[in-house]
Amino acid sequence: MTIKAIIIDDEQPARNLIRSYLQPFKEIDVVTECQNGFEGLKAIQEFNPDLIFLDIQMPKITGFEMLELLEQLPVVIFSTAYDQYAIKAFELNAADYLLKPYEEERFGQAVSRALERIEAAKDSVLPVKEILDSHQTESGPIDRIVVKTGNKIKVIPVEQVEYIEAYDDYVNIYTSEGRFIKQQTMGFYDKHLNAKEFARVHRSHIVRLNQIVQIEPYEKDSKVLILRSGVRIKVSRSGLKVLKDKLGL
Amino acid sequence: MQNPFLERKTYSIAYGIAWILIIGIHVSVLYFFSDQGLVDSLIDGVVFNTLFALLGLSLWYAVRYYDSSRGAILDTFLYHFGTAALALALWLGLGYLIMMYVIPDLSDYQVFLEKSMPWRAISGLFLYSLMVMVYYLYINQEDRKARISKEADLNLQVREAEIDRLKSQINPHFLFNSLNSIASLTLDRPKQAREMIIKLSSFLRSSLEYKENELTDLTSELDHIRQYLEIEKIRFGDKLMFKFEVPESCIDCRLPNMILQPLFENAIKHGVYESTEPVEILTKVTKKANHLILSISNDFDPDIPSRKGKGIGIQNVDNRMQLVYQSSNLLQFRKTANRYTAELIIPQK
Repeated sequence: MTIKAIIIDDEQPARNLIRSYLQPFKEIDVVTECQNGFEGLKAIQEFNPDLIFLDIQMPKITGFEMLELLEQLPVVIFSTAYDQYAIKAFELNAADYLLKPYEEERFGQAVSRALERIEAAKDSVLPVKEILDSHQTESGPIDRIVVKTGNKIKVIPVEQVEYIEAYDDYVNIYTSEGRFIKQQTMGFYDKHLNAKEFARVHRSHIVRLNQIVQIEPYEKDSKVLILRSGVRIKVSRSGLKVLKDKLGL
Repeated sequence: MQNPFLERKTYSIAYGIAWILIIGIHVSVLYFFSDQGLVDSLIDGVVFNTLFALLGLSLWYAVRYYDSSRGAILDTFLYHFGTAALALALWLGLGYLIMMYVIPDLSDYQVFLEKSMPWRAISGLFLYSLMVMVYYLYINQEDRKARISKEADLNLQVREAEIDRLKSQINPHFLFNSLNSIASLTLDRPKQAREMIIKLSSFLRSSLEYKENELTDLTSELDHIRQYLEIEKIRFGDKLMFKFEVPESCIDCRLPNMILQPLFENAIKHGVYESTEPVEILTKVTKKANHLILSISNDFDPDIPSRKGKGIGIQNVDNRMQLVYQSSNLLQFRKTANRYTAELIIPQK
């Protein structure tokens, strides 16, 4: 059996090293190398690899952000000089986390572990969605959201987000530039957006506070928000309480 | 600080034993040399010395709460003279009264007691001085201990600050990524690996040797920067390009040691680290009136929102410039559509 692998790292020497360390593993075929998350995403969709070697700090989008955009995760070995992401990486179910520079032997262990995992999980690949909630646990509020629009990747600073709406297994993220769809849960954004700037006003809506221009009564004992853009959003009873707290009403 | 004889058990015991010895001597002297009865001698010794022992404990407060470092020696002397007079009067007065009550047969003893008063005063003065000296010795010792541990603390703090400074000087991720590149180069390009090790070494050496308040000339500062950029160049290849425009007339200009490093790190971080396209870092040096002007500019990708905040490195540059030249606004930033420029103005004499 051939294992398809992709190396994603923005430094040529780092990619060379991985390639060379992989030589003893004849069953692993490095189908391509990528220099950043954008290329990585494209290559993963094209080649559907079993295994990726992934750096974290890369241009445009980080390795983590790239993984968020995938429907299904290959087995991942992180290779980075930053030790502060290890916990996050294992929460993402990484096969291993290599700290640059690493020995050939250590690398071999990581690959063996990954191969075992590929063997074991042949039929049941973990969907990304299930594990994304644990993502970002140790750091503060997120400051940007990476989305895919068609073939393009867009990085949205959270300041530009006007509101977020639940949409089946996805969320719709609204900015002044329009709507972006992303596979993620409302719970994730409820937890990881800055609580001073956003409020979950309804099970299906999170609103940026400074977008609210008016709160109007709606039917009996319920309210509706009017945003700067003119959009009207229903507020649940518990949502109203949260909102009043945050706005100091 | 509490009275050592009350605070520490060993000291309390030593104090007790010392007084028992003094009582022993006192009683023997009275019994053998002054022809007093054994009972009278015993009572006399116990009463007067116990009184002094108690009085002695309170002398601690007289020593502790009089700040002798403030006044002249004469003041201290007068203060203790007064205290001693008071203490002795109290001691002898109380002792006399107690003896009047407790001695069974006063006739002989009272005459002796009154005659011995001057001698008692002299021995009391002696005991007073002894106690005060012990207290001063103790305070002195404790102060010294405290000072030594404080100095050690201070040393530790200084060293920690130094380490923090070094850490901010040498970005660990830069170091580890560079080492990883070297590991890779050893595979098939040992010559380049060797060159990189040497560059990295001399870069580290000059980073470690740097002293905060020294000035250096532009040439050596730029040499250091070139080393840094060449190391990054091995990591990033064609993605990083750099160009220096330095007129001959500026190379001897003076500027603070290592002041440029954070600015270049910043350019690399926001330019090269975040870009998929080649990035050029252009360094231009000009001289206007009495100012050396360094401008460092880099391409950046406007589509990518930058990650949080201005780094501590930039903050340090700003602070140092203010400290060295006593003037603010010597570091400025400009941003156009896709170029970011840092400008450093360095006053020359």
